[in-house]
Amino acid sequence: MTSLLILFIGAIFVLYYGIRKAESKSLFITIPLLVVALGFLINDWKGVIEKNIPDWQTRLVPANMLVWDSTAIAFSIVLVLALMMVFGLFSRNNHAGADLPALMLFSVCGGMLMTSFSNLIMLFLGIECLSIPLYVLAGSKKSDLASNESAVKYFLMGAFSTAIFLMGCAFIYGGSGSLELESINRAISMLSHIGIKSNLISAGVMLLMAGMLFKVSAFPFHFWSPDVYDGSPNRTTVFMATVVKIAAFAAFFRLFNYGLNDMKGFWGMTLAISAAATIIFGNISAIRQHSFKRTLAYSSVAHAGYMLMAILAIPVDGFWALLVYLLAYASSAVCVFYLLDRTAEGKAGFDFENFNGLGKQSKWLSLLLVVSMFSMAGIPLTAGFAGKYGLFSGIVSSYPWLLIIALLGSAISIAYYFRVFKNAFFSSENGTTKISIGMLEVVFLLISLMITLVVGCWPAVITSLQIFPG
Amino acid sequence: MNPDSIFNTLDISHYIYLSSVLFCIGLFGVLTRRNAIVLLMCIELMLNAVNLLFVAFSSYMGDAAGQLFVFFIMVVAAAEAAVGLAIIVMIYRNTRSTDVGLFDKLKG
Repeated sequence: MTSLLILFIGAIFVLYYGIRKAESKSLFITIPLLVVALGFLINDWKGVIEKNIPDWQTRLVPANMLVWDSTAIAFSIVLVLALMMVFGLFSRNNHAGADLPALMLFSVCGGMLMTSFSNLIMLFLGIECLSIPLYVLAGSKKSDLASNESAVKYFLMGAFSTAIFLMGCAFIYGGSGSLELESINRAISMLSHIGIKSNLISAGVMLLMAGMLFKVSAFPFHFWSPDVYDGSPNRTTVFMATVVKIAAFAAFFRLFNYGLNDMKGFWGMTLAISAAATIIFGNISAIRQHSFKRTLAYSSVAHAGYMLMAILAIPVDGFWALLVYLLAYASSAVCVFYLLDRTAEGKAGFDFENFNGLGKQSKWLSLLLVVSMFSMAGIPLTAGFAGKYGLFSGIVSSYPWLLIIALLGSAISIAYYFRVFKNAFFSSENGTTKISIGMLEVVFLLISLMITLVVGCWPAVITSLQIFPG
Repeated sequence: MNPDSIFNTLDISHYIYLSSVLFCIGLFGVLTRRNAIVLLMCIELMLNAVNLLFVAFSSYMGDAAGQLFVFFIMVVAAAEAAVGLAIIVMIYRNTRSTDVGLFDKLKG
């Protein structure tokens, strides 16, 4: 909980400090701030392990609004790590004021509320605290029409999905008589025990699911995300693809596995169909794109489909698989977006041709590209494979047909992930200009490379952390 | 007249129907209208339908949590409207229009 306060107060300080100074100078505050927050989170994690008490009673904040259990801490650690990489890799050429990093910090505070809520009010506040700064960030290139378009689309879709989500909350409240996750679960299991089927709760679960599927950009409600990812400035796009996705999935996981677990028979099949459709649609649309940025946007939709499988699995297995997958996806997506950002310098679009000749130009950057792409496609010995293996083995007994679709989807995804290699290594023309990398960027690229390779070769480094979640 | 009586004379289902209808009107508006400001109004209508439902349930069950939620929804809706109107103003400056139908540059 301390880390949340540190980040929030730090964000106010950055906002104040950065009014007149260039944004790159605020890095000396934001990075140490995130390191300190990470330290407190790891300390909390140790506390949870050593005390070995049931997670629901670990540290309840007054009025049972937040619960700081191992699930919340684990997802918060990934969240803070991802934000650190975003800051470290994308703050080079920004000479405007430091209001944008402050907005990102506020947004991450909302994300941490989403990982640790135990009351629907807190979940709602977390979602809004995450989203409202993002509407501003998406439109932060004020004169660029693409950025404007993505801001207005993101705002309208975000507000719309929030309204649907709230209607779900209201129905659940009416049906179960409470907004607390634990009481909702108790009411649902009591109702199912005495054999009453509450229409209010059923409608509420469907609306909640629609709202959350909007937030994670899964199949019937994914249509906004490619446009928004494409139009936003690169740093906002990578922020959405990593931090927002982590927070949204952490919230989805907690809401459906802790609050509505007893209705899994009711919502399980709907979610499985949505996951299958997301995987198929995301991968097939990604192949047909010409712009690399848009391909990555559709691939992020496909990844959301894989991650939905974690919610269908048994909570313990699903938690570890989701954690490894989010870590893998965040660390490789940050690298790929970094390369996308650097190769597009001085060029109009984000096409595949920007990568022409990268292999000849820099050995290290091409190694980075290969490892990140392997991890995204789920090739063995990278973290992406470890995550996919966990996700697939979690659902194999309950939804075997979904496993087949997911495997097919991964096979299709190799086509567009490896398409960039053709440009990078087998193209005669030299499309890229010389890329110079700063010291800080080298550090963060190495960190993400390390995460991808170490977790990939030895997944037990994460999964043997010896704690039973939930 | 007892202030509670208005909730006692009407069954809770009336409130559920009323707010569902309001919500659907808002939903229909979001899906059919093209003006960004009208869309924002439709979303506010949906949020107010939710507020009405929360207050009705809260009064029906004698539980304060629902009314607490309504206050949070109102505050957040105000913040959201502030950011949303700022975005719409930014767009109006660039395109001299608030028609979301004009936004079709991002495709593929």
